[in-house]
Amino acid sequence: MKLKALLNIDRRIIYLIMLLSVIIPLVAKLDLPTKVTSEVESIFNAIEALQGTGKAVLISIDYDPSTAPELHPMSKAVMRHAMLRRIPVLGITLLPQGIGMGVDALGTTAREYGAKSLEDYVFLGFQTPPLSVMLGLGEDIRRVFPETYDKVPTDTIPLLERIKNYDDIGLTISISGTSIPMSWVATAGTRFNQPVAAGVTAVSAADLYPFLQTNQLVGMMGGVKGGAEYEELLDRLEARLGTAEQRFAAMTAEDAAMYKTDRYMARQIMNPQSIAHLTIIAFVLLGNVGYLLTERGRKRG
Amino acid sequence: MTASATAWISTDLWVWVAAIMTLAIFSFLYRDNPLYKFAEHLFVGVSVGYAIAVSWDRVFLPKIWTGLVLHRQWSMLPPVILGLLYISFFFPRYTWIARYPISFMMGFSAGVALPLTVVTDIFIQTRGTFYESNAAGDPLAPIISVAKFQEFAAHPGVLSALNALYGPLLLLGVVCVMLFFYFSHEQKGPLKVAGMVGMVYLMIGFGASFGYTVMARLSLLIGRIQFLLGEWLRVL
Amino acid sequence: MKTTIPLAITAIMGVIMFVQYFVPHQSSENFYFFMLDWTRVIGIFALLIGLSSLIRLHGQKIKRQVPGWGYSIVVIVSLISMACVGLFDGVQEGSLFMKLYLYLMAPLQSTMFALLAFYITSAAYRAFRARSWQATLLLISGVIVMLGRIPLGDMIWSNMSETTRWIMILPTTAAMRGIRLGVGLGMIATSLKIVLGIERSYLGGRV
Repeated sequence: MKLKALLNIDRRIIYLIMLLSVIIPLVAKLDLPTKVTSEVESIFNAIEALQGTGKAVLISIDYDPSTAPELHPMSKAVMRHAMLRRIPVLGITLLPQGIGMGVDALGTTAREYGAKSLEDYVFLGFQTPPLSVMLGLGEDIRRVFPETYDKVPTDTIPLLERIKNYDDIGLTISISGTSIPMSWVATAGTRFNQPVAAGVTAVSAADLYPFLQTNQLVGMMGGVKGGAEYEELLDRLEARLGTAEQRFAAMTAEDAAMYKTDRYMARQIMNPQSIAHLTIIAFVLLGNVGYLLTERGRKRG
Repeated sequence: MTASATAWISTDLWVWVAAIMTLAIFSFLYRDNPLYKFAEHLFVGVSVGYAIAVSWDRVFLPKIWTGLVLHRQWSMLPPVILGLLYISFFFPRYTWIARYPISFMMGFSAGVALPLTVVTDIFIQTRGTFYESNAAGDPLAPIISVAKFQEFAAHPGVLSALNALYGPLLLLGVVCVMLFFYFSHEQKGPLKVAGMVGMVYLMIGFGASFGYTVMARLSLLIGRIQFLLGEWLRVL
Repeated sequence: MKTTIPLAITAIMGVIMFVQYFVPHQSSENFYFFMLDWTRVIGIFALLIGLSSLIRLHGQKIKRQVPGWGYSIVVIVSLISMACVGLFDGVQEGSLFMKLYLYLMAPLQSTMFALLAFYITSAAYRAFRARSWQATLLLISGVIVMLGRIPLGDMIWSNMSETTRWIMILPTTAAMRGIRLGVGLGMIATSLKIVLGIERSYLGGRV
């Protein structure tokens, strides 16, 4: 009877336990360390290497709210890094739903670092179809995007006089919940030898490891852990430079608290993520223990 | 970010809308109910409305209205005519006319995809199975390298062993996985053995994919709970 | 008219775009962008077909007053409202349209996907059994990766994340690459069959 109960826990109890395993670590503000992997560090180093070269970082923000918890912190972390190092940032999106994500990410990070639109960064907005954009950027950015998201003609922007095509872009980062990074590798990477990095959901990360191994991808941030690792690297850099404290001291207390929380988003998700993973593993083991005991009992009987 | 940080619950109407919609969808976990059904149907309608508005603003207005109608860019007329042929779907006797724009799109997509697939999925992936490339652009080195085995012999250890075996194991895995899916001959003898080895790789790979999928879905759940506890209830 | 011309269009477009890839001249690139603009314009009209199907489906439900027809009214009203707000008020940041997107559509979409976390837990508990050596292998690999991707994994075993990384770069890469090569070959075969007119299912009906 007890064994049967072990194998037949009501699904609503399982849901409740899962819910508690997420809520409790969040409320208790658990703080676990973040270990950085080489795939993420490669992207970080690639952006660091762009300092002083005059080249820009192109960030393709290709996700919608359904994958925002995983990908939005990644976008912001990469943008923060580029803005900290005064590397020009070009933001584009190949999905209509990415517009809101791009506006929020660039707006938040620009306000924190005092970056100016059209001077330090440009949000070019949405264009379609994706292949056209990826190939067109190899020729002339302004032709692909005649105006920015805010309807400013791109041929009036001084930054885009200097940053014309892939030759002036040091790294393209595709942050997406779909297979768009593979298209970036196939077009920009293969045809134009453009360094490409990817920020993807954990679901897609497994599919992209072959591209990492062939160096078709400079690096990859996989899932919320990838974002957490990049946030960690950025925090370590800012701690070494002492820039974070200076910046927060110049803000109001409310703004400083908001940005501090915002910079920690992916790592904050990793805390309940850890407990939830253990919960799932516990349920899997529980189910298997019950199954093995049942099988043994059946064989004896 | 919302206003009034000192309140114990958000006073922003929009946050309340988002919170109620979130709870309506979560209510399905208990059982199907009218609130969930309402939210589900609302989602369908709003999603389609969103796609219409964005397509109008970002593609129709600049390309068709401004380009063709206002600036008389006649090069846009043939695709408009082809697109209008889709309307034949509404007339059962004439639905075959819609084959023209479909054929155009299919031919274009197939023609563009062919060389890209050959290069990215076949050439580069095959090359990656036999050679490793250097990110600095140095000449490619074979993935199975005598030097790595010599290194292992000189400094035996787990890391040097893995480094030496990486190439042969990767090549073995790729070949065996492909042979697992080869059904033109009966899977017996060496083919069966190769298929079994392929299955080992596949099972480990799928287990890893499962782990990543769990991570992805949990991240979304945590995001919603963060919103409810942080932005709505101000508990966090 | 009904079959030959569409097949000819497919073949001609397929060959032209295939050849275009190998022509390095600027005129070839210009032609590519020109054709891309055409596909974007044609694609807009395809959206109308989807829209009409949806409206017709729910319209019929309302007309026949089938059980749950009230929800069909919700679909149509929300569709028209969202579209009208976007068309007449604009889609720029700060507009009512963007607010509806951020606070109505986005939470609904995210929460739909978030439900999967619960279902995965329940399904893993009920179905993830080590019934055979293959299933055991899958189970062990899944558990190692789940532990390796969280900080607690390294606290349990210091090499957990390194083992996870090894699982990703070797057996997973080999498996995904093998699948990818197979899928790539399949895509090439299918694309060729489409261009050569052997595969005609996209035309629908009797061909």
